[in-house]
Amino acid sequence: MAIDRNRALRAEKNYRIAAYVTGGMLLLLTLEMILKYGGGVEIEAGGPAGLIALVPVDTVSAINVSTGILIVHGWLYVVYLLACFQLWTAMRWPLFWFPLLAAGGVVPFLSFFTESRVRRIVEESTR
Amino acid sequence: MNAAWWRVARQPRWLAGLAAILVLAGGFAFLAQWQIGRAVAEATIETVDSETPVDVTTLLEPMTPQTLTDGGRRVTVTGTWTQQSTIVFERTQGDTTGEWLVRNFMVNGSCLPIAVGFGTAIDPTEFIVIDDSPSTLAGRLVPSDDIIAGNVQSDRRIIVAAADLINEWQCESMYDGYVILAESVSPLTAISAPPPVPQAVLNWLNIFYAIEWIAFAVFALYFWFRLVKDAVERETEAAGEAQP
Repeated sequence: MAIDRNRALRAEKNYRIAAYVTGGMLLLLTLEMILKYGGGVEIEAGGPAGLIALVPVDTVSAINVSTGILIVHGWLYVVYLLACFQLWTAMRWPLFWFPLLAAGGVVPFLSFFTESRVRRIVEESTR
Repeated sequence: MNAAWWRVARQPRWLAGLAAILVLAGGFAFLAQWQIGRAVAEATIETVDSETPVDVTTLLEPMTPQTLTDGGRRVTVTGTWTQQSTIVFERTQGDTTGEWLVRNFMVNGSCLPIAVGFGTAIDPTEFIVIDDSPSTLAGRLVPSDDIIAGNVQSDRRIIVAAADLINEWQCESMYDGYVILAESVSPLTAISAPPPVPQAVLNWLNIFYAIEWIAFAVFALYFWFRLVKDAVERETEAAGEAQP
């Protein structure tokens, strides 16, 4: 079945942006998890310890950047899923490709690989 | 959703798909509920024993803001009365609107406003205490009222705030907050000061995750709808190609 070329390219562009943003956010989140569960510290902004500071878990008295990262990543992931869905329908890929794309937002670094793979595939099929 | 969509959607294959999606969405909904449960379970309840009286100086330092958890605690205060007092208007107690008599009490050289009692048409001169020997009072420690536009009136006072009274009474040093006396002086009535309600802080991270899981469940259903629609389109296109 024919692919709407413009729609696919547009969707790929949105997906690319979402992949980089979510992928970057995911790396921040990974760093935060290492800090929290490996180092026992959370990131605090604007607290008594300074603009950005690492404080022991559960002692954050000002803005909890760690929780902020989790919430922001959560919602960026929703945007990322929508972008994946948009691209996946535009490209008329098989069903199981969707969870593969979706995994990019939860497995660190994966989105950067899928993104470059996806860009090549889209470029080839819309040439 | 036209007739063609319904025809395809009713096919066993797509009904099975729907069943699978519903299980998935149900799983998401369960996770949402679990997150809500966690948010409530993890709500940290500030447990401060507010009913055992403590000396106010153990809670408050002069010229230092009062901590949030100390509001409403039972306290004892030892100090001496001054001759300074003020009337605070627009106070309600039950259904009655009246006034408070607020007097200046010196604790270790710092002013501490004491809300003495509730009444109507209070004449402060009736309540002058001549005794200047130290006395110990019992009551509840309350944070200063908010000073916001409309709360500060030029002709009369309608709030009890340390920042306002420090000028009125020419205090060199002052405690933030005031004490509502447990027992008033006749003919005034004691100001009602209920014990503080424990503060539960919801865990917002879990709340946001719960909303997200619901979004995922809705999305799963839409996903199925879209798949059916795609199948319909494919069928229509195939039919179009078959009959040029």
